Amino acid sequence: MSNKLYKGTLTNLILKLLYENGKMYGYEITKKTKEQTNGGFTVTEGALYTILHKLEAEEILGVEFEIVDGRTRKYYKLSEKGEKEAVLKIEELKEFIKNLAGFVDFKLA
Amino acid sequence: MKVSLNKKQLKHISNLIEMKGVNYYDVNMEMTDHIASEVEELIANNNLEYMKAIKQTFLRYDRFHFMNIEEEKKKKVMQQARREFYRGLLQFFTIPKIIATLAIFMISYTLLNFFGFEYLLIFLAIISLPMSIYLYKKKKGVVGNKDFLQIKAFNSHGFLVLFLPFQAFNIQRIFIDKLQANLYFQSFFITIILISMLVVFTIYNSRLDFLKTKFI
Repeated sequence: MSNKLYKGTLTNLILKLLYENGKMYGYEITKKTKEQTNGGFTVTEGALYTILHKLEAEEILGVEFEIVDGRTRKYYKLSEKGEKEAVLKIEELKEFIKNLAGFVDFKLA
Repeated sequence: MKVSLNKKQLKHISNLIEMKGVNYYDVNMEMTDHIASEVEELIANNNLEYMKAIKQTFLRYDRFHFMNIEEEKKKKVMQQARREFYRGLLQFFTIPKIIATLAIFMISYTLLNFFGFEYLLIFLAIISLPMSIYLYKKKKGVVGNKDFLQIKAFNSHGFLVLFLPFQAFNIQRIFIDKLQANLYFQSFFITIILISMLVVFTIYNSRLDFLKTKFI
């Protein structure tokens, strides 16, 4: 997968995960993405944190800190602006997959 | 079986990450949690010893991995600091803050009639100093002497603005004819400097308060 396509898809996946799960921390997002795509989509930490920090700086994500197992854990959650963005991106993603599936089926036939 | 690392092991991970070039507390803290979670899972699932799990985990990352994450975050936080500053500045040109802007403009205009442009700049330079000292002292209290990337970014941008009155002397020299000829232009210039200082002070102060509530 090309770098641009990977990052674009990853952003949408992160927004979708946060929309469904509320707040999540970095490692949890990595694990959940792997689980939900049956290992087909591996998130590298470099890409994950670059996207999370970008979305945080753009105020699409808000953050919370909690002490868990003796260490500080940073949780990410969708902001009000992020909720709207997530709904839009999920719809876009669904539409894209639907169109792509139709295109591939047509080509195969 | 759930595995939880002890304080000594967490400190060990944090030190290793620091050795990989991550100097800021807020970035190090997040990376430590990530690596610790990974190590705990490795120990629980594969029955590994702590040191073996650490080795296996760190092997996955090249030597610039953590440094790159910090560099990328630095860029994003700088953008955020700039955006917050411009947003704050813009608020002074919309209702209701525009009333304060007009008041500052009128006061500047009146004072310029009495004291002149250079004296007003000196006055602004004098009030920017205690503001800078206050923020610098407050910064030290966030978490001991630890450095926060968030503070660093807002700091670099903020102090640049707090020193605007000093820089204004140079700007004045460049545009000396235009500035001296027009009192309205001078008042506008003073107003912008004062508003910028106010915006930076408010943003930086609230950022420090936010970090204090989270980390103390």
